[in-house]
Amino acid sequence: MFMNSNLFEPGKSKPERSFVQLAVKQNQRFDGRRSNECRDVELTFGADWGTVAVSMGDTKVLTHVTCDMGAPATSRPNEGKLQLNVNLGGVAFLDEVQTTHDQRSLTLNSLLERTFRSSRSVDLESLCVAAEQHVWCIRVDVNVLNHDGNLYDASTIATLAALMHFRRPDVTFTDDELRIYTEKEREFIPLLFLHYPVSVTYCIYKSSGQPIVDPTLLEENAADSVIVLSFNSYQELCSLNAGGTAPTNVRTIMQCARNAATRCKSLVDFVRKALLLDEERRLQGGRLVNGLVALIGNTQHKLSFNKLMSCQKQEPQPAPTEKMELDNESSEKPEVEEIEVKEEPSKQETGDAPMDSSGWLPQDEDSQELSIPSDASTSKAGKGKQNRSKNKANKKPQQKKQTDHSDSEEEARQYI
Amino acid sequence: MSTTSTIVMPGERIAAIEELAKSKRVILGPGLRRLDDTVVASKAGPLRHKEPGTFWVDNYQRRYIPARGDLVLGIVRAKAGDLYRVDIGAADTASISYLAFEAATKKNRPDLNPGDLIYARVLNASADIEPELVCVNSVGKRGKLGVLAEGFFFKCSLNLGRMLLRENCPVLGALTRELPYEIAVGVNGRIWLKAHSLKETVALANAISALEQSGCAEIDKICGNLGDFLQT
Amino acid sequence: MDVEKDKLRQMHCEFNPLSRCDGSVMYSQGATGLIGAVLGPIEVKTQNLSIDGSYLECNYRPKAGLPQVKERIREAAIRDVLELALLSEAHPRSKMSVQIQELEDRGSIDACAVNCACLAMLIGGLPLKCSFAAVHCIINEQGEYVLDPDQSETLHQRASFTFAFDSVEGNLLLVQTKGAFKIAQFNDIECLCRSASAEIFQFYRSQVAKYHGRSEATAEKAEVMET
Repeated sequence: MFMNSNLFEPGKSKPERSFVQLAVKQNQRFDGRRSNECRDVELTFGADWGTVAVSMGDTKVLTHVTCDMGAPATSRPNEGKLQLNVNLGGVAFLDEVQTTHDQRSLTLNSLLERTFRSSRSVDLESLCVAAEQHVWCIRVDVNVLNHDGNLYDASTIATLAALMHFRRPDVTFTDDELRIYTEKEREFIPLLFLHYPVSVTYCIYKSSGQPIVDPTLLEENAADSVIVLSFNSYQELCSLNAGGTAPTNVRTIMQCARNAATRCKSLVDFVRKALLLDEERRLQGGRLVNGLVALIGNTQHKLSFNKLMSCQKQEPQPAPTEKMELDNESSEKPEVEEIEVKEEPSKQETGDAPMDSSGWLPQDEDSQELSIPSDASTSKAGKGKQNRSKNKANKKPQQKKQTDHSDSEEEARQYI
Repeated sequence: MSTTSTIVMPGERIAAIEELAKSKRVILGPGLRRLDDTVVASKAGPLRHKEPGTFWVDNYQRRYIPARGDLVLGIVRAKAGDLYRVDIGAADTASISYLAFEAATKKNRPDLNPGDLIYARVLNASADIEPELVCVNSVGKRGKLGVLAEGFFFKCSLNLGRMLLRENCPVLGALTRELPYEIAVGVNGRIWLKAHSLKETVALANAISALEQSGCAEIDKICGNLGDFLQT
Repeated sequence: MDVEKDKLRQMHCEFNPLSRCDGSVMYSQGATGLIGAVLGPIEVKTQNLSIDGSYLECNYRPKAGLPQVKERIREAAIRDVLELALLSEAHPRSKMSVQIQELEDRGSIDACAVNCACLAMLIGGLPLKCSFAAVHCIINEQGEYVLDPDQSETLHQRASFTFAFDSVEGNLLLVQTKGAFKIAQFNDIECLCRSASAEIFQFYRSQVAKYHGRSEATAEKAEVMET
């Protein structure tokens, strides 16, 4: 009758709720974080390609990517498939809570679908082996191990890291014969990306205009509304999920979006860096690759966001945490400046690889499709009150699309 | 009181207790059971002994098993006829009657809603029936029991809850020297706290949670940290 | 890293890495790793309710995809062993839930899953009649016995065996065999596994002691104050 009484969930009783509201009002958090401070993110790579465990505080998620040969959908005969599965049962005991289970897993699944599939972050056309006959079906399994708030971010980071870590076998298709090579015969191939999205979650309370980032379960359960924003590393909005009952003004959301964009960028940088370290370890010798057994105890195989990114802080580029200042007025200007700064390197990038359009990607089609979400995101971003950034933003997509391609091309070239 | 810190594993026969049982009365606590003429452990952990003849197995259990007379913190889940359903973290939801509050009559019902937090005593508990709670003592006074409004509420291990409830436990006394506060500890591993300001409450909650990791040996250090924190 | 053929791989475990459940353990044997979590006693659905014992639920989750036949078999094996060891009459009208999540499968996963379940039960404080341990062993191409083999060693195996023993009388709780072998070989391997299981029981004990030792000093201090 009351099946959800078995598991204690913080934030379900009145005193807790009113206390959290009060705490937010006074700008206090239980773990001593500031309202714009995130928990540390730890990545651990498994021994197999495409296995990643992510932990943010006590929230733990395990993601595994597998691939399989299959027939394409009739509507898209020359594209591979990307399937995202969320599993809340198992050791997290989240399916015990039967009434909220559906909602929780549906929200999470739809977030992942929109972030990774609808935004076309993985280049599915490169997964086509023979049109209408054989394509790769990529399956991502997100196993939630423990839930202490902000499953959204943990899952998107885990999914992105797993997809980036994943390598598929090489395959040839000649004379109606499909041949899949083993790792010994030909090296495995990583997936191609058009962009790299991750999400950032904010909780908003009626008692305060100040949103808090990366909520714990207590904060999430007591929140009046939860906003999940997905940005890619080019700071384009990929999905936005806002629900709940708290009336929120546009300025707050814009503020969240701006901070989220910077945070997402640094998260993607972190994932890239972690992947590089993992690759180094693999090159040093198979024996060093411990796999997920490294989760036990405190080993150096856990790659922490704070540690990795603090090394980077010494470099001239602005540190992400400083950017997270939530003061409305002060952060506007640096933000605009930063966009300008960032455009320059991206221009250079496009300049570096102009000739190399050797048919890996059907460019025209893609850029058309891509322009729709990015236009939408810029128009949304433009709705804010600053015209300056709007102009900038409108200029951006053009250049960005080019960088998109050059980026994936560069990656493609590495492994040809 | 003596401590025997031998670790026992489930299924182990404990000959020492059998010997003692021959000469005097022995009480077997949680984690021990009698199997015909032998005493066998059913949980893993250090075997504890308290004079004159009480034995139990210490265990970091997190699931509460209701026992008569326990003080627990529960969250009201629903109203059902003459009863409220209360979640106390045990296998079954507990029930509490409308009439089990101070000065409650058929006409004058207490005003409790789902989500309210109550501090109550377990009236009866057995494995076969659902536990029943009361918020009054035998003479109909509420004493310290009843609805807890405001304040902060969090979960800890059963062990920590029991430790805080021990008479002359050093922890609460040491914390009182730092700042005044109200506390309600349930043996079901839940703690309710209220101090003057929110900051103090949060600091206290963190200090008590920190005990879980370090134990009371470091209570002085924790109190020191707490004092530092409050001054900043 | 290479372990002798008649030795178990290195065992490691971490208690209560997860905060939601009543007891959890991350267990590894060599490169094979699992997470086990228990919840219990908890409320049971009416169709599973039993008035003279608790209902045992056991799930095994693979790393990828939904549980298939192979995982279901493993799950059933774990449940069979658990049902023999669980003291179910202690908590009638309730449910004990055991979940095992695979992290890394690098050989003898069946045995590791059983051991992981046992550690999770011990740490969750669920009442048991006895503890139990499982050992995996194979006969390789050369006819040698390899105890607790790594995945690389299992490629050319003639037969594989999984035994589970209880801690009190050393009774066999589970026997799984695959492949062709002589009865004498079976007996040899049973002996080999039995002696290895003692090592696992020792590991359980030392880990529980270590976990409790962490706050032993504190408990003693509290007791001194009490007297």
